[in-house]
Amino acid sequence: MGNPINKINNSGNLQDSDIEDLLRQALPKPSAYFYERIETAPWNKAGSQKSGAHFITSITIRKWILGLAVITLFFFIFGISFFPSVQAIAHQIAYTFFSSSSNQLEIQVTSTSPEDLSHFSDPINFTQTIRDCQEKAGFAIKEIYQLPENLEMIGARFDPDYNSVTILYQGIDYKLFLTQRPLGNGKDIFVIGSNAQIQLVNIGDQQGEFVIGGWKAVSTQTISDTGTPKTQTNISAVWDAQLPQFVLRWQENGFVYELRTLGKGSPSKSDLITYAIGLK
Amino acid sequence: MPDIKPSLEEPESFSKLFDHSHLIIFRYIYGLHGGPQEEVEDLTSETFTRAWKSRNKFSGDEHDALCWLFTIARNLVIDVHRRRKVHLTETLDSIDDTFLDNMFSSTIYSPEDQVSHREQLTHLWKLLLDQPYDRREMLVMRYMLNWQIKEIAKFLEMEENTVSVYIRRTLEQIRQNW
Repeated sequence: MGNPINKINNSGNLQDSDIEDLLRQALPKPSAYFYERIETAPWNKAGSQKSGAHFITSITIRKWILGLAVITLFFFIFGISFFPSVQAIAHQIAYTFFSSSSNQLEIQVTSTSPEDLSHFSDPINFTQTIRDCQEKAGFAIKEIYQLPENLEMIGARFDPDYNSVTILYQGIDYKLFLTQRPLGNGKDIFVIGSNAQIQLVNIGDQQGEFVIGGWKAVSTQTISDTGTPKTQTNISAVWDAQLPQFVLRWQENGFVYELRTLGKGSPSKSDLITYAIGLK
Repeated sequence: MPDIKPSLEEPESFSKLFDHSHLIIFRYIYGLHGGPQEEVEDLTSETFTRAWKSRNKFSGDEHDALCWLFTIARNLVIDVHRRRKVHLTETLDSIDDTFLDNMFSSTIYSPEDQVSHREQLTHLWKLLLDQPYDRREMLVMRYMLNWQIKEIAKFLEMEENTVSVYIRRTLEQIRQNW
């Protein structure tokens, strides 16, 4: 084989044989890393008993894990699609707003007293102290540490059905509710309209969600069940993104928190975030 | 050649096949794929892994086994190029340094000649990769694997004369584009 270098340097003299010579010298070799990898191949003589078996076992295990993951994911998606209880579990894990399938909501409520419904946000339902609620709930309750001017704490209430404590604050033209409960220990019934805009916000180091609007009742029908003190109330509600209601929700250290405002003078999103950061 | 099918399913037999053929398969893939070295090594490894997994379907002697490996390697390279949907030269700025280092490690060229030779080989490599896939494959087999024309023709199922003409024309084209 001749040395083609000098010939090719004189480019005018380039022959096919020079190219052939160059190609014949193009003899790449695998690196040492390639041979290291091949040592663990299943056909490798030295590694067939150990590495090869380990190689095949690893592949088998990986296939089983992948298969189980796919099956679990399938059942999880199936459950979320069809079973409200699984939806609730998923919601507890992800803790995001539930979007309703439409902007219209039909609610059926059975209550011992219609006043319980109409007066839920009334100050007369917030007669307990924070200490009372804390004893009933069994967890430490946070509150807005530095109340701004014109905002007054009215009282608190403990809802055993939801294992939650709600504190009511009264502003000049608005009400502010602070609800808190342990994550995964209690129901969460709040859903938002399908067209509601969820904004992701940062609350210190946490991420939260902010939504403007609320459900507006368009018709209410109360059916009294004779012979029992209970009544059934059917409420038809539509999601109204223009309602002066703001909701800020987030989770922290295993607890979920919600700040909800009601009224024309509601504090802004940044005010709510400031309140949220300042909870103690 | 003896029929190696009965023992190819055994690790020892397959290991021998690997020992005898991995360098040829590696160079074949290098010529078709173009580099870089890591990708060529991955493809070579994958070629033998696929062969190992489907070894119970193989039937034939050692020559057949080699052809079988070439077919697997060729399909792998084609699959990679189809997935990327880009021309080879768009992925390669120059020939892999590892390739050049290996080439010059045992030569007696002076430093000046090595620089010159590297440039020439890099240039040749780009021109080679500009060639149609089937022409490139013929040149790789003929010169990098040192196959005879009749062996190439048999593997590609073509007439010897056709292979010879194609190789000659491809060399001529590379020379004109130099």
